[in-house]
Amino acid sequence: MNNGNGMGNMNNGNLNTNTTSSSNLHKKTLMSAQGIHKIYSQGSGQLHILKGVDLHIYEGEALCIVGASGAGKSTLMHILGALDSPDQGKVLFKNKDLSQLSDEDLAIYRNSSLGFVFQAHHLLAEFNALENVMLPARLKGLSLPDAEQKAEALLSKVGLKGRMDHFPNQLSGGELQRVAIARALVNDPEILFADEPTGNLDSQNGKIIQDLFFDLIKQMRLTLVVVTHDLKFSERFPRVLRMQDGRWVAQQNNKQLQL
Amino acid sequence: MSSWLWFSLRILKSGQKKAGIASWFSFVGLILGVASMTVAMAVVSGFETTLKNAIIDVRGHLIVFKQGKSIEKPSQFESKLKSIVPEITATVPFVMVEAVAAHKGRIQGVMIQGVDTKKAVEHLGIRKRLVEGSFSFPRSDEGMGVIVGKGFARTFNLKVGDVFRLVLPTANELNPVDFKRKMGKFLVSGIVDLGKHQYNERYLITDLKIAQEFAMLGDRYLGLMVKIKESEKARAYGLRLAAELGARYWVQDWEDDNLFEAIKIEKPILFVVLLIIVIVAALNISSTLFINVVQRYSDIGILKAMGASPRWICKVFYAQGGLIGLIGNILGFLLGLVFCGIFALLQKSLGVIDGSVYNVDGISIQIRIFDTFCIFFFTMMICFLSTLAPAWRGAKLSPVEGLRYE
Repeated sequence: MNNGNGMGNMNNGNLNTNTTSSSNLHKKTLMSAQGIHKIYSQGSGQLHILKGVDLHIYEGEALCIVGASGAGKSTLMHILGALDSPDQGKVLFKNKDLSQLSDEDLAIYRNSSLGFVFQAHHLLAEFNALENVMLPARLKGLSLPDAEQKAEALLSKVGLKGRMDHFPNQLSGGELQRVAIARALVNDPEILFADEPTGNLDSQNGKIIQDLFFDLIKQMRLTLVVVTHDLKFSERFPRVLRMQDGRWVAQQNNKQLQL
Repeated sequence: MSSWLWFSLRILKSGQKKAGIASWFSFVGLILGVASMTVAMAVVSGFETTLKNAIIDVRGHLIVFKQGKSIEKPSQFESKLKSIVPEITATVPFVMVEAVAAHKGRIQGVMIQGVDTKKAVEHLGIRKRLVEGSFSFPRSDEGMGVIVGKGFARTFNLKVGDVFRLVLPTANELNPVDFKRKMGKFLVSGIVDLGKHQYNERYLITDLKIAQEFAMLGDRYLGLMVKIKESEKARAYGLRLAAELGARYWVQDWEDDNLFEAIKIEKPILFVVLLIIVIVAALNISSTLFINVVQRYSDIGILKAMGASPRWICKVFYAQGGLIGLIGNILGFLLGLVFCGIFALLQKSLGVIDGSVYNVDGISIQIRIFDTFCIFFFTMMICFLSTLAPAWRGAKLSPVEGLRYE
């Protein structure tokens, strides 16, 4: 069935995100979310952001989550990235329940297995581009020279070889986001989460960043989960999930765009 | 270098450029606190040492008196003392006689200290305190040789080679309510700075035999001045000697001066009072770090998203407090040294110490390793404690809370 947006079927507001793409049938589940609920207290009332969301993320896939502002897609990404915890339900990474991990283990999980790119670049103002990219590697325990070497290689890869010693206030929006991408990739994560990565950029820079994402995940064979409301961007993904009011409402498989 | 230390150093380096004036005031407060403590401890320690050295140089570590007339020969008495306290290194026989000095219309009560010259040169520190003349006690028609304190010389306007009279009141066997007087002429052969104001004003040092002759004591002496290996054990040895020798002997150690008791109490009180400056400065640093946490909500959020653990965040704040404490300590200590130098200079040029009030005519500034260690340790502890609350606040912050904060 088509919902008019070129997107696939929905079933009582909850999609079976496990059995959607024929290509995914052969892939291993890297991460899954089961019955995720998230409720925020707002004054005297409550805001039910996620209403029992299920999700499977497969090794090496590029998944896009779309939806209007306030639909709950960023909240879901935060929960998947262990930046926030669900009020109900659980997240499994390689069959390991994240709720069972201590704060220290969660930090190791985020550092080693995940990479994050946010709408705002969130670079540290006092650190130059190279140091910003080095940070996760230093947190992982890499020595200063090793971290520096890795960060330099990644910055070269994202086209910022000549801007390594520039501070965030000396870089353009597109450059800042490229530094943020390099930082997210420095520890060779298994999943790269990007929350509206082109949201603050003009169309030209947005296109550069999009291309960069796809180039990098091809080169590095990592799993990409992007949250966006840019439908044009979403069309480049093989699997797109639409969220509305805290639930999945549609899924689209762009088979022709398989990576 | 650990990542948290690298990060802290980087933050501190860049943070100093954008630190607010309040942060700088807190830091200056810390430096001044450490400097004040350094100066105060150096002055008190210097005062203590000046006083201690003066007493030991003039009277030895211990003085053992014998009441009554019969007393063993000095060598026998020394052997007796050494059998009780083997750590005794030397003894100097002495007499002390109170007399009245009279010169050019002025009179003043004085204490004549007669010592075995040879032994005094070897074991006491009077000779090294000579500022004029020589450590010799010639007998001539003009008078008997005597060394006078610099205060006494100033009061009576005496110079080396000058002669003055001493009057010794003695008991009149025929009339108990009357007294006889014995006069003697003395020649100033040297002027000494005995360190302690009271000594400089009242003490006259001469040879044992001259003092015995003047006081008509024959070959009797009052007791022994005792030197030991470790001055800090003087009290313990003194108590042992007093217990063993019995009631007819009286033992005094260099610490018997009430001032030492006062210093013992005052020094830690002064330390604690001045530590309050450091505590206030550290509280200001703590509030600066708290502001830092709030200002860095977003940074802490992203650091946590990148894999910084709560422990790592804590370490960063601890390191910041530690580094601020360390730099504050070093700069404060250096500033304290400068203040000490200024104090010493003022003392030399203006004579800021009134000997009649403070008992010493000058204080040698003394920086003790123990004092410096205490200042360093307590300052570091306070700085570290001041980081606990901000560090825990930062560590507790959820990553998503930080990321939402713009």
